[in-house]
Amino acid sequence: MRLALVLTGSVLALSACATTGEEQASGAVYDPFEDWNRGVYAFNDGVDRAVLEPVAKGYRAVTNEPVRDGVSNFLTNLNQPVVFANTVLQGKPLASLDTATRFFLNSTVGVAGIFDVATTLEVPEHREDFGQTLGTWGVPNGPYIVLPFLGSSNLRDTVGFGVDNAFDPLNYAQFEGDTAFRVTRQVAGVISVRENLIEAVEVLRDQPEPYVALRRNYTQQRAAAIRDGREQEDPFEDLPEFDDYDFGDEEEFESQE
Amino acid sequence: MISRKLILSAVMLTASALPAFADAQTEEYVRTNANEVLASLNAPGLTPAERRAQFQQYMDEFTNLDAVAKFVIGKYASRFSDEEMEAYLAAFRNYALVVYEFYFNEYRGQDVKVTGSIDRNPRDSIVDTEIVRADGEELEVRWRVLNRGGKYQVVDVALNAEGNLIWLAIEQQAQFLSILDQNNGSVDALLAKINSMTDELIAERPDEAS
Repeated sequence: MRLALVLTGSVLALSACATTGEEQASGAVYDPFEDWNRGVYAFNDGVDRAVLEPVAKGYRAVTNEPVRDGVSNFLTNLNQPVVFANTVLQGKPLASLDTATRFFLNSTVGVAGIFDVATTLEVPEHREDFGQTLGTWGVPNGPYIVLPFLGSSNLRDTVGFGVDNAFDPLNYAQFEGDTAFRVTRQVAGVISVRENLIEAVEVLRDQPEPYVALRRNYTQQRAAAIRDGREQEDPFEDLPEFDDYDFGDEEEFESQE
Repeated sequence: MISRKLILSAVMLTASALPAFADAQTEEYVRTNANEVLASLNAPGLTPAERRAQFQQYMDEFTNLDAVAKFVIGKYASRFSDEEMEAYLAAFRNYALVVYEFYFNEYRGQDVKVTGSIDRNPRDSIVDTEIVRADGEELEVRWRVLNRGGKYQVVDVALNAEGNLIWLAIEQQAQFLSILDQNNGSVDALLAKINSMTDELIAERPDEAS
């Protein structure tokens, strides 16, 4: 973890000099540290194949879905104070109310968050983090960054990740066994998330260029998350054109123009 | 004078009615063909090879694989020699058919419902559909249909992932261009990659694995 922090720090220091000149419209991702990022990507991929993927598959093999849902619900519930803080910062009072209600219901009736009672009662779930909050404030992505162990990010979301950790009361609270609790929470979080991604990672690895596929997908998904899952206003405006000459009879097309 | 006015207004009426007319036709085109393609993967009583042949025949009518192949290599399309292009088009065709079969297999035999459409211009439309997968999950799929010389052809397909439209050909273009850029535009490097992926996907086919 300390290694990750040191490396993150140096990536941030490097990228602070180069946060302008983004090409958003064409879907191209600003990736000035591509060589470095590809190295970290290969490292993460190695760690994943050696450790995370086998552990995630083992976890899936020894648990059933209700158990995994319970673990995932429990971890999601622990994160609701951070989500709440971000809904407030984004000025979304209804989302704040939903999030507070969910946290209250699931922490009590849902037995410490294991059962997602709130969803059954149709209280919608919101997924907000400080990277998204910065995005809604108009902060651009900055350069794409692959973080060791943590994976895809960009300068804005890396800062957001740090701030979210600072927001999280459970990172400060002192109680008996607090260190063991925090370590268990992190480890369980990684395994639970990775189990959820087993199929997605397989699809990614089937791509011609997984690095490029993930870079684009991460960036587009984050943009969609900042829009709260709404489509772009004119999603078809920037679609690239196909060359008429690729369709055979050229003269016929020209006469149609 | 009256007749001129009449003709003019008739022309204007036709012109204004054209996009809507194109819309309905494009929607029908996607409804019919998408359903045929998905049904072909589910055809009972056929051997895997027969089913595959039928699927490929439908795909050839439904899409323009050569146009897509040239699109996904972008600027390099004009740099390949004729022989290189021929080899690339053949490799791409094999790959695309295997990939589409692989992904469409999850939706085989399912019903494609058209939910709407938008004309970007009279020759370029997006048709929105919903497909309910075998596991009950509902998917929003958009089809980009070009009308060239009165012939409709699908050139790209988008999946809506929580507000993020993923256009398959555009994603493929980004990846192919990256491979070519890293290999000084070498056709051989791209062909090696495409062919190895085709082989991997064939090896993963349920009827090949057993």
